[in-house]
Parts: sequence; C-alpha cells; structure tokens
Amino acid sequence: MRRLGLTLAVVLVVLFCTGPFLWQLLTSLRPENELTSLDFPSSLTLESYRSVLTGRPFARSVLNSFLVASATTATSLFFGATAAFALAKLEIRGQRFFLGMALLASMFPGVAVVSPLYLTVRALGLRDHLLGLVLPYTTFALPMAVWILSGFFRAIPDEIYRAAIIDGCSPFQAFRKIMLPLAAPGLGTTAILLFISSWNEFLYALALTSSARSRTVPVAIGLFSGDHKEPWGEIAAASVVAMLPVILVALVFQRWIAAGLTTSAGKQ
Amino acid sequence: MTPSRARATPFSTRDRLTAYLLAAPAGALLVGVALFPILFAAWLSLHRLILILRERRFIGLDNYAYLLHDQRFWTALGNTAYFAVFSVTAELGLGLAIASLLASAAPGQRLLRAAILVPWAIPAAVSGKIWAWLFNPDYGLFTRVLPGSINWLGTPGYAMPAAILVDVWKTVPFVALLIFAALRNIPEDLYRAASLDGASSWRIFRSITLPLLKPTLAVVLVLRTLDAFRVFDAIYVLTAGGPANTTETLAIYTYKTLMDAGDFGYGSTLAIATFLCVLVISIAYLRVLGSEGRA
Amino acid sequence: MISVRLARIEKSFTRGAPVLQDINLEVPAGAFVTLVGPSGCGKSTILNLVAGFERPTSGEIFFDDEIVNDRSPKDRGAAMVFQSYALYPHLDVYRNIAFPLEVANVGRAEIDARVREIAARLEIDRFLARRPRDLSGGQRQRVALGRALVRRTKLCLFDEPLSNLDPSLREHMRAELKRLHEEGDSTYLYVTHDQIEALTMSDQIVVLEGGVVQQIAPPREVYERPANTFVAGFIGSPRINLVRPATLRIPPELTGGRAPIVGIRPEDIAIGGGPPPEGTIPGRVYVAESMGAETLVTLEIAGERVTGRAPADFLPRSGEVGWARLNLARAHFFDPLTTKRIER
Repeated sequence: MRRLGLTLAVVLVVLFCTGPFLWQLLTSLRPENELTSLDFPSSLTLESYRSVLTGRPFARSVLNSFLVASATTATSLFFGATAAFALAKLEIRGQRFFLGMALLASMFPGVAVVSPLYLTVRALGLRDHLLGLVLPYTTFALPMAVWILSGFFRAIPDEIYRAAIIDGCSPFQAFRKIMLPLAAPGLGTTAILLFISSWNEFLYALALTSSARSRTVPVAIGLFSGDHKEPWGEIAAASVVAMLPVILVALVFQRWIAAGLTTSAGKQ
Repeated sequence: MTPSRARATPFSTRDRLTAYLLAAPAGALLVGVALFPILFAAWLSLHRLILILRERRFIGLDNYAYLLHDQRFWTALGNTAYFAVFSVTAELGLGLAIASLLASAAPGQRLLRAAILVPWAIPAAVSGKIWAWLFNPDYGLFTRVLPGSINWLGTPGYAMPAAILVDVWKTVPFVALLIFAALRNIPEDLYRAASLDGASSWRIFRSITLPLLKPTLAVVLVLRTLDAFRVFDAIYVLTAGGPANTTETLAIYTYKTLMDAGDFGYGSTLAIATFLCVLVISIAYLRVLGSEGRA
Repeated sequence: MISVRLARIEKSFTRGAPVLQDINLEVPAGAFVTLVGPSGCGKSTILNLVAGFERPTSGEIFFDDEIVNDRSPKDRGAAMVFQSYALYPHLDVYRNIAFPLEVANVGRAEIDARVREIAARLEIDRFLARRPRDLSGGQRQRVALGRALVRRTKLCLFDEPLSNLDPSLREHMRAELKRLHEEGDSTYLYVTHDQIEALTMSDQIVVLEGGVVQQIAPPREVYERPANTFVAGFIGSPRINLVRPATLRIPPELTGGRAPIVGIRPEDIAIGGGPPPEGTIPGRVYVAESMGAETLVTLEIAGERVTGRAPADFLPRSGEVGWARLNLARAHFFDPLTTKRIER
C-alpha cells in the first residue's frame, strides 16, 4: 500500500516537472490547423520547425547562443581556475576579501548593473555584438567559477600540494601537473554550469542586443511575435530547440551537476 | 598535530609573484565586475540622464527623494515581497516533499532524478513562453481545463499566482536537490537509534530530521529569497509586468525605466534601491552561513 | 649529508600563543634525529620550518652553515615523507616515484634505473603499474618512502610516517628505516609521538612538550637519565612510577632531607603475592595485566598506585595482598617544584 502511494507520488512529480515541457514538445509537432485542439494530433509534423528555422533568423540565434556560451565558459573557466587555485593553496593576503567579493558579485541583481554595462558596452562600440555579451556575462560567470572551483581545489589535501613543492615543483608546475588533473571533475562540473547559465541568460542579452545579428536564443523566443496573432507552433518549435541542448547536457551530466550545485550553495 | 591552517607558504619573491600573477587577472576582473558597475550605477543615480534626449545633468539626491514618493516603486516592492514570500514558502514545502521522495525507497528513482532537472535546465525566458501558452486566454490548456475559464494572465489578482506557479515550477528541483543532499548527510545510525527507542516516523522527522536540516533550510531560504527579489526573465516574458502592473516586480520596473523609457538616471536609482534590498538579504545570508558554518 | 641547526627559533601563528619557544637544536650531518612528544608539542611545526612550509617568527635555520630562512621548499634539497603519504592519486606507482626526478629533468634512462632500484629495495617493484588507491596502507607507505629516497637528497624529513600502520607492520618498518639510514648517507629528521620509534631508530632524541625542548640526548641517556618528570613519564613503556618518597619508604638519607618526586620504572620493581618478605613493601592489588612473558601488577600502596613486574604465572585478583621489592639504586629523583632531575 505504501509502495503504491510512493509510486503515485513519483508519477505526480515526474508529470509536474516534465509535463509543461512535453506539452510544448507536442505543440511543436502538431499540424498547423490542430494547434489549438486539446486532443492528440492526428499526425506529427516538423512543419513548425522548418518554418522557424528557415523563415526566421532563429538558426542564427542558436549559433549566437552557442558562441557566447562557449566563449564565456572558456574564459571564465581559465581565469577562475587560476584564481581559485591561488586562493585555495597559496597564501594571498585578503583571501577572504576575494572570496567575499566573488560571493557578493554572484548575488547582484542583474538589473542593478544593466545601466553601467549598457553605457560601457556602448562606449566600447560593442553594442549588438557578441563580444559585447561575453564581457557582461563574465560578470556572473567568473564569480561562479571562482566560487565553485575554490571548493574543489580546497578539497585536494594540502599535503599533496606540499609533496609536489618539496619534490621540486614551482607553484605553477604543481598547478599544471598535479592540481589541475586532480580537479578535473570540478572543472567539468563548473564548465557545464557556466555553459547552462550563459545559454539561459536573458536580461543582459535583451538589453545589450538589438538585432537578429547578435540575438541569443532566449531573447529570440522571448520576443517572438507574429504580426497579429502569436505563432504558437513556431514558438513551441523554437522553445524545444532552445531547451534540447541544455536538457540533454543536464541529463547526461546529472551527477556532476548535482554535486556542483550543492557545493556552490552550501560551502564557504 | 599540525595546526588547522596548513597552507604552503610561498617564499621567494618569485613564488609570491607567481601567486599574485595567477590570481591577479581574476582579481582585477572581479573587482571590476563587483565594484565598478555598482559604483558607476550609484553615480548615474545622482544624475538626470535621458539617453534619447541627450540630457545629462547632476541633480544629487533628487532621484531618491522622488523614489520615496513613487507609488509605482512601492507597488513594485510590494509585488516583489509578495512574490518572494509565497514562492519561497511553496518551494521550501514542495522541495522538502520531493527531497523526501528522493530519499525514500520509491521506485523510479533514476526517472525522478532526471525529471526534476528538466525545469531547472531550461532558460527562464523559455519557461515563460511555455506557461504563457498553457495559460493562453483562448487556447491554453490550463485556461480550458481549469474551472471558470479565467484569463489568468490578464486578470489582476490571478496573474501573480500564475507567475508564482511558474517560478516555483522552475526552481523547486534546485531546492529539492539541495535538501536531498543534506538529508543524505544525516547518519543512518541516528534513525536506527531513534527507532530502537520507539519513536514513530513523524516523531523522528520532527525531532531528528528537521533540526539537522535547519542549516540547509536556512541557506536555501536566504538564497531563494535573494533570487526572488531579483526575478525578471520568466515574468517579463509571461506578463511583462501586467496586467495593470500587478506583476511588476522591482527588476521589471527598473528595466522598463532604463530600456523602454531610456531614463538612465532614475532607472539607476531604482537599480540601486533593488541592490540595497538584495544587499540586506545577502548580509543576512552571510550571517546565517557564518553561524551555521560554525555549528 | 647535511647538518641542520635551529637557532633561537620562535613560532607563533597569527592568532595565538607561541607554538615554539626558543628552540635551539642541532642535527649532526648524517645522523638520525627524532623529534618526539605528545600531540600539540610543536614537533611537526619544527619539521615544517625545516622543510620550508612555514617561516619562523624569529630565529635562524642553518643548513650546514647557510641560513635558509628565505629559501622556498623546492630549493632546500630536502625530501619528505608525509603522514598521509600524499601520493599523487592520478599517477601510478612508477610515476609517483619518478615524479621528483622528472621535475628535475633527469634523463629517462637514469630515472628508470633509479626507480626500479628503490622499488626493488622496498619490495614494491611488483606494483609499479598500480594506482595508489589499489594498494594497502603498508604498500602506500613504501611508495611514499620510495618517492622520497629515490632523490638521494642530503636531508630526509619524516612526518609520523608509521602512525597509520598496523603494529606488526610498524615493527617491520622501524627496522627497515634504520637499515635504510645506515645504508645511505642522508641526514634523517624524524617526527613521531611514539616513543618506541624514537628509542629504537635514532642516534639522538629531542623530547618536546608545549613548544619547549625538554631534553636532547641519545636514546640510552634519555631513558637512563631523563631530564625531568615529563621525559621520564613519556619515554619508556610501561610508564614510570612517579610517587612520594614516603610511599616507597625511601630512607631520608637517600633523599638528602628534601622531598623529591621519586621515579622508578616498573622493570625495577618486582611484585609478588602472599605475606610480604623482609625488605619489601606491602600493598593491595589494584589490577593485574597478563603480558604473555610476564604480568604487570599495579599495587595500591599508601594511597598511590605503583606498577611493577611479576612472573607470568602470578595472576592475582583485585583486592588481594601483594608486595613490592624495589631496586632503589635505579630510582630517579626530581625536584618537586621545577620537576628537573636531581643528581644523586
């Protein structure tokens, strides 16, 4: 009896979580004339996908999102890893200040810094440019990287670092030969979380881009409008395209993500 | 016993240099990222600055004086607080329930774990669109299936609960995962000892599980409150702050002032006000973390 | 081989009482010197200072006659075996041992020769392709040793390397370490809280307590002529008896009229049962522990407990009557105020 109750609960939760996504998936596969019906579609079609990928500059948005997310992840990972290593293993004055800054920066409301970012990006001539997104994205990606990675670096026993030093390594050699390989899982987790955050980012992309040239996927979908009525089929198709990469990544790297999230939230 | 602070001290100036070199770029970026924008925004908030009109004038604290009497600001603050209270409560409750489910012997654990990552992974803006479709006044699944055929997103009083539902849907998985991790850290032996002593499941939950979860729940509470105060994406896409500004949060009001009206002066003032709210909560967070961390 | 000298070394950490106070000690070139003391006495701190992981608050550290205070650990020419072994988890045994040689850009062929030689010597050559996680504690310990010894440095530092091993393995490794030292020509500086290790392996023992050196002497002397009650109580197992002279009926002419603390080791007290013979002190048995080759009996005499040895077949029960015969010639006297040794 208890088992039945638990199974029911699991089913409910799974439905709750995946239902809306599945409904959107279903909508995206409906033929045009059945978009608004509540029954199962008579047939499945990729018409909405075709129309959204060819009739609109949506494919461009996907590319933009991919480029921006990759660039942000790469740079934040690189600078974040070196900084996190230095924080965790070397004695730097103001260690706690550094980490405190990282923590604080990751807590900022995005909207609080839109105005300075907008003016800065515009002054640099990077408005409506992909690079004009990577820079602002670093403002949340780098603190996140430093925060999560210093947890992972700190988890590597100090004695292993000392062994490398006394074996003759300079700090940078020790970082390269010993610490990086041992922190590899942490790097992977951080990369995934950074990529997902960048891909999903909306506010900065909305404020700092103005044309299809550099628009990213969330903004493209958010701003989707038909001339008169909203093209829900196309919106659904675009949504699925937007969600699929991150959902796939999330499912494949489940365990890493869970580990990274709990580390970032709980530790100091 | 080696003292607890066991680091490797860099010695020669060259080693010290390496250390700073490694940390410097990120350090500079972080300071630039953390301090510079906020200071700049604060500076902007002391001006009257309308971009399109190319008007730029220093006016001191006039913007803040205006803010205190700005009804729309207080409404937005109220909306945000209302949103925060209800969404965080729902997330904690549901999160606890789902975490318990994850920790139980229920079948389909793998499916469950995979499923709860779905809402977390998708872009918030996209989730806004998904729910906008579900709540579409004419064709939405929920509009037609739920009794009363209410236009949820277009009716003041109903739009906010809908927005809360959307946010809860998106973030309950994250909360559940955090609580689940904490649940797993509770030693099995404690439960065994309690059941040997004759405690019922409810008693065990009340006297052992909940108290040991308190640190995590506190962290989650503050984190989620922070996020709730910053909320933007989903609601903007869902209702753009309407109907009649009933779902207009601080972030949305700020954004509209900045980007739609082009008023960078007052917009920055609103931004700083939002930032201060978040700062107060962040300090509470650090206090809570600090004291619980010591426990 | 190299000599190490600490002159007037003091060490405090940022918030607190000094961990080391006025440490002066000399490690002769090629010697095996052990720093021994209870947890928190500062012995590991001294090792870290010599290694270069910590800087002294004041004082100088000399290698031969050069001050090395400002030299980074990688430039001090010392090898170290850590308490946790600190093996590189992502490298196999071969590469763990070869690591320091690779960092030093030694040629491939020579690395191979030296790694295999030390692996054979430590009997871990069968495991060269394994990862640390697939090895037992004792095997890991030998890999850590190998990684330190393959460098043939002039100075080797050991931070409680045997404390995580089973007792029988520890016994075996003590002998191995002593032999390795005799065969090589490095100076060994060894830290442990186990006084048996100190006694069996060292040329010199430095006893530490509370950041202060209690005694520096060869093992024999530390055992036979402990400098104070702490050293007397710390070195030697089973523990020395420290009692009032009246308890053991020590005649006043021996104590010289004062009332010192008397220290007498259990091996200098013979215990028996039945009616006390002439010249013995009666007491009541508190507990008897059979050690296999003998029995350790603790008697209650005049309100204090005194432990001595008895034949293996003497197994009294608590409360029975017993007696103790002392070898007073081997008793130690300590000043009750300063706890320092009083020469007789």
